[in-house]
Amino acid sequence: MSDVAKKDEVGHWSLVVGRWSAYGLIGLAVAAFVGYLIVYVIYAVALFQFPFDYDQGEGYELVDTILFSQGEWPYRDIDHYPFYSSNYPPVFHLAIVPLVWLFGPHYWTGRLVSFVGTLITAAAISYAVHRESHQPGHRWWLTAVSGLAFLASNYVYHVGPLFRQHMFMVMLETLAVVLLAVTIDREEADGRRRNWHLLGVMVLLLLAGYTKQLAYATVATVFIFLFLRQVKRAVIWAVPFAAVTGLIFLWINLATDGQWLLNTITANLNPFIPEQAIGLYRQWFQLHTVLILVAGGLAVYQLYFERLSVYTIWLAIAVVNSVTAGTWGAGESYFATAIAASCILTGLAFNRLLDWSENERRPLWLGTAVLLVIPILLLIQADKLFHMPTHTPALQAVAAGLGKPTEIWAPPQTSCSAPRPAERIRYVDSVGPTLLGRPPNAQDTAAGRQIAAMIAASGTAAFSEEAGFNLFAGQEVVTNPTQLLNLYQAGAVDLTEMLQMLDEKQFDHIILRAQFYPPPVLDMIGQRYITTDLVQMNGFVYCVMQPR
Amino acid sequence: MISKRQLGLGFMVAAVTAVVAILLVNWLGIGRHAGIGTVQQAALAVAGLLFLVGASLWPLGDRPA
Repeated sequence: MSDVAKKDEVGHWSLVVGRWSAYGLIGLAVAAFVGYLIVYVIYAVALFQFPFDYDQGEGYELVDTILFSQGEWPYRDIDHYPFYSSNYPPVFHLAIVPLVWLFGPHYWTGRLVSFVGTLITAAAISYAVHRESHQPGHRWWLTAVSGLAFLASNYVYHVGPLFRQHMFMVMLETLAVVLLAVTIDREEADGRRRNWHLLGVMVLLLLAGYTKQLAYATVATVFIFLFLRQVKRAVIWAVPFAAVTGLIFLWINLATDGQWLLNTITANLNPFIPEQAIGLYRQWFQLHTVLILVAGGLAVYQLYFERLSVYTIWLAIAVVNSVTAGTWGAGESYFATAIAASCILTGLAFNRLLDWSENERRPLWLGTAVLLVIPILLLIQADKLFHMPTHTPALQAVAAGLGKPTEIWAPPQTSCSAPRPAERIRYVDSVGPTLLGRPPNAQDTAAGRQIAAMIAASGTAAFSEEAGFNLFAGQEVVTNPTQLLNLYQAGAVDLTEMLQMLDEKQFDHIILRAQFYPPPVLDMIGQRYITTDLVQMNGFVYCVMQPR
Repeated sequence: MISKRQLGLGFMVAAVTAVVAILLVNWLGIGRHAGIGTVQQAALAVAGLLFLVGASLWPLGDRPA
């Protein structure tokens, strides 16, 4: 065999080995993200079975749903007993109403809807990547990983299966943006207008905005993109969209005697905490580094070398809008829209990179090299997102096998009682010790039942920072503490009646978790009530108080 | 259809508007700090970056944005 032939032979086998190595790495990357899906399902199923608040405020979303199921508004005068009102728009709760009619007022109803919403979001992300892949088989693995990467985000994992409306909003936003991309692509391909599809986009946007106010960023995205492509059409659609949005707003405001405006707008103007915003931006970047850099790279490329896609505009606006995570009461979930956009752009960027490298005019080794690098990057991303419950021997073995810790030690959260020593937590997360993520267990359920039993024995509603205990005990839900604090900070609540009832010790039990109530309320509680029991649930020490 | 140059111009106008608004916050005494606070500094940096990006789009002329 000549030297040239030998070199060809070596080159051929190098390529074959490289290809199969790439396939192996792709298999590992897919396995890693499927692993995160399994972990997500484990957490979700544990939450479906837990009958109390896991995240403070879930119960109030259930109360909103119950009120809607009875044909009542949750936007009420909070100055008077039972001192309840809500600051969230209605769409998420209305979507759960049929489940409440069928199965009763259970936490799992909203948790299931939110969880399914995240699965739909992941499917929409995958579809957005899939439809722009023109290879045989559409690189199924990249399609799958793009969607699974969204579910693998620590932030999506933490809040996805909670009775919270945020991820439902992200689902509607994602569906709107993907439908817009499909519509405009098809219109530009064949020159035919598809106004019904665009109407669908507007309906999805409207629903997103009436799920949570934060969707305004995606509304801006859609109209900016339309404006860049078709200026006149953007204006023509913006006018009726704004009119319908405004009319619905006015109608609800009239129907609730102005409580809608007060509770959803005035009460939502919370103070901005710069340190919180900076900390969350830093954490978001550290956790999602590969997704952000690859998506950002494609965005910059589009800015200078081709037309901006709706996904690029979405990413830019969502990243800027994530600064609102720094407002009091906000948090990591505010990055979920940016994460969805970055997953789509990353999938598209990798697809295009593979198309470019596998072009017939380029050397074969280039395609193999790119095929090797992409799964390595995905594995690096998977490692950065690491989170896993380790409450079973099998999960502990997996964590240990991956070289990760199998437990962490952290003290329970206390606000109304003395600090407690650190204790073992069977949940590991790149974020560090977190309040969310560990699947609730039998001890947590028993603790919730213990508090609910005290309320049931008294036969009266407790003045509680969480709705779950009163709901479980079959009592009326009294107060919504965070909303009270929002309104108090806005100078828009009269506490006279509440303070009088506390002064007269009309409640048999006070239950505190984080002392969210406005300072005058906490002062009165301190004067008239004394802590009788401390109960630990979900890593929080609850103070059960009775009249002095 | 908006061109790259028009988009760049839009970025520059937005950046200048943002800088004026940020400085107005101080002049009107709305901010929490007497000087330019951390958030304002960050916002000024973002506005500066936006202006530079806008300027860099100018040479791309009539290509569609």
